[in-house]
Amino acid sequence: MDENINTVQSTPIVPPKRYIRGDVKKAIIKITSRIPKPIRDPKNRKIILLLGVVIGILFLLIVATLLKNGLRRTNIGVTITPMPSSSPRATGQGETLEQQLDALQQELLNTNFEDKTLAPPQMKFNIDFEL
Amino acid sequence: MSIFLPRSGKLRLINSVKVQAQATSYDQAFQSYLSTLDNYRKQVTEFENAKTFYLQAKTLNQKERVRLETYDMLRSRDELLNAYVIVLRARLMETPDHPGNEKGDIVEALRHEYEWYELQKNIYNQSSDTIEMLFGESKITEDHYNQITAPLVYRSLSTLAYSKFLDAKIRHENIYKVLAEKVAGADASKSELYQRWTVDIINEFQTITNYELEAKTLRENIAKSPGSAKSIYDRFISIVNNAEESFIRLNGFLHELYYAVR
Repeated sequence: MDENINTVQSTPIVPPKRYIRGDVKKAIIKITSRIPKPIRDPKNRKIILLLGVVIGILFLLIVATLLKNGLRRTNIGVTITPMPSSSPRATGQGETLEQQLDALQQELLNTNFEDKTLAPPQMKFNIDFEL
Repeated sequence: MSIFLPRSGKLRLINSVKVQAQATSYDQAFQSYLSTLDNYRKQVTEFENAKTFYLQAKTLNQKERVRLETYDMLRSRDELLNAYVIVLRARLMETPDHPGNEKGDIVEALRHEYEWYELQKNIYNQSSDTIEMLFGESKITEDHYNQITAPLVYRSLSTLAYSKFLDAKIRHENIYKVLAEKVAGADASKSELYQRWTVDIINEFQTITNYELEAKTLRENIAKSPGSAKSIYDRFISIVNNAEESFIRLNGFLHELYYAVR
């Protein structure tokens, strides 16, 4: 009975492992030692960092462009009201040949090349008289 | 942004509302012009009535009244000319730009005219100008109108008509180009018929080109002979009106060809 009790008491209690600052430093050194020497060189590291930044910016630009194009495509269904114009010119874009010919025919029959509404106003210049 | 940006020191004093009012579309400018025209006609009637009363009795009171009516009428005449210049300019701005229609030069010249009438309108002095002085100032406007404004007005009007002419020609040519391709690929049995029709269409195009060349020369003569601007413009319009008939005929031919080859 006593023996059993002694056996239990003699089992050593192992405390949980605690990492101290020195361990972390050692780990970092261990990891960095695996990096090839040219990259570890401080001069080269700056160049690599710069390259990384440039590649990052390019990546962001590509993503932004793709997103923008994607948004544009989704706007195809939006109806854009054309600006009204009183110009005598009517574009033939999007019309069939028949429609273009009909439109031209109507313009020729209904309006003249001469715009009579813009004829110079009649003005009185001869205004003096014997006082 | 205004149609005419005043450059001279005096014109900078024009209030912003007025300048803003010039930045109008053709429709707005035309409505403004009509309203100015009504006002001018009203002032002319007032002037004529005052003149008639004065000539009947020749009293000092009636002389003063006719002086004031002359002043109002002269100012309203300059305002009318300004409104007319603005409406012409607005119309030109809405007109298609074609090579050789001198649109840019004319628009700039109209801006100078606007400035001139804006200054002239402020020359009259209601309190100190005698009626004789007003008659003299009216003569200055008359000379300027005949020598500078009127030729420019006819150049503007001819540019508007000529641009419409060129526009109609280009649009018919574009349609014909498409139809000519269809004719080239047409069935051999119809080929000869289409060739004959094509000859007639080309002849009509040639007639229109002849009108175009004649109209172009006349337009150039308006600028070269400002004293005869009105008579040259009348001849120009006669040519352009004749061309309209040719265009209608051409349009009919193209319609027929279209229905045949579609």
